[in-house]
Amino acid sequence: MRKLASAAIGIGGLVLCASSAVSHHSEAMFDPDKVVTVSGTVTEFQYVSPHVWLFVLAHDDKGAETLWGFESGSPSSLMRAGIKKTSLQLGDEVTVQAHPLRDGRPAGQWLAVTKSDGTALALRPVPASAPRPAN
Amino acid sequence: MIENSPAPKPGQPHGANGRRSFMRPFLLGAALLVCSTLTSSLAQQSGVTAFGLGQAERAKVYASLPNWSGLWTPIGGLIFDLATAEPKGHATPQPGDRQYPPYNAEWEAKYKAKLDRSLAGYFTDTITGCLPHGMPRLMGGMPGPLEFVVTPEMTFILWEYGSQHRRIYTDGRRHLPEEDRFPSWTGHSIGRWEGDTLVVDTVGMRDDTPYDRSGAPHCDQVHLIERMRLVDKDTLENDMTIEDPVAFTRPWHVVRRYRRIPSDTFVSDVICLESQRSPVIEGQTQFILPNDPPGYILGPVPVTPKPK
Repeated sequence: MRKLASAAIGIGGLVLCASSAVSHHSEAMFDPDKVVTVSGTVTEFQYVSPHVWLFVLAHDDKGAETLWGFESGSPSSLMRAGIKKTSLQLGDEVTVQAHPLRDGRPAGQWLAVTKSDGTALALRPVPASAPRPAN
Repeated sequence: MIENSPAPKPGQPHGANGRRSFMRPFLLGAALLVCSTLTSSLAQQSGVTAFGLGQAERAKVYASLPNWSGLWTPIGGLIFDLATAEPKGHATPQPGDRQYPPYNAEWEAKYKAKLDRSLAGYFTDTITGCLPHGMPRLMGGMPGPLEFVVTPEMTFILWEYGSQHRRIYTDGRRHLPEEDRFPSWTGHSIGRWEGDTLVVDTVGMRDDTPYDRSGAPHCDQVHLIERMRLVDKDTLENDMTIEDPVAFTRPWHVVRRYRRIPSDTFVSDVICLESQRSPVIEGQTQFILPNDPPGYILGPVPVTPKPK
């Protein structure tokens, strides 16, 4: 089921564990207290430096389309996390959990991606209180 | 430290003293013979090794050096001084995060202005524009993996991010004379071995590279002394003493550690300009999306730090 939902989550003193996914820019553009959950279809998976990008076309309950972009770490940091350039294909149905941009544009910081077969592509810890993606 | 050793002293000129030699050829030859005979033993005594040793002799020196091979990652997050960091525990400095270098009032005010600008929603970082991290930031404000390549004559430190590297000469050379020095991203590093400790003396670092993302500034006359050693087989410690004659009231002592990670960990390169979506425009780090309205510029995004 394609849906777009967002949840405001207080995550207290969550410490991001990964020097494996450090950005070349400040992460202050993302809201670490919120997690969005976006389900949709992969339209592009750019396995490039300095940040790998995943683009997902999502539909809301009224059928409106939104193209979401999710930033992650470098290709090598994804390799170290077991996420390869072949891990996502165009047309894959995915659910993405991300810290959203503070300015409201449809983009965020990739925390975890779940494919329709249940495969999880996790890069950063998802707050325990965030809703689990439905498969 | 390094000032009391037979190794080069900071500020001493590189190479000969500039006086013209009038030695006769036979005297020169005799001097060279004596020098080549004594070079290795003198070099080992003083913890430095000149280039040009024979293979067998070089192998002996190599065997005396510690094994820092493999991959390492910094421990404890990327604010430069973990001991004075407020708050503790952030992987990278967030707006409002700071540390306490021993700044004089003028430079504390400069740092405070950067911190305030960050809290006002301008979250820029010098590396966002794809410039190098610079020194001393590489040793505490830079993510891993990093690698140490120890050889008798010099030690390299290699980082995956930006394919950046340091060259630390342990061949007995000296710094350039002060009047010939110019600021560079990594500065000029000379070192020597004290047993298993590599003592490194670095000068000539640019002043437009803060210690880390919190923006802590330094001048271009920083003098950095590092003492690097293994504290256990998987932990390498860098004990740093930083002198800043313009910004500090006293030397800043910072200790950073790096943890050995599996040597077969995948490493590649990370080149910032390959697909830069975050240029700094109008003083703000942008985040360019394909469906942005034409001319969209991200303005300030104020952040309220959590109560400490």
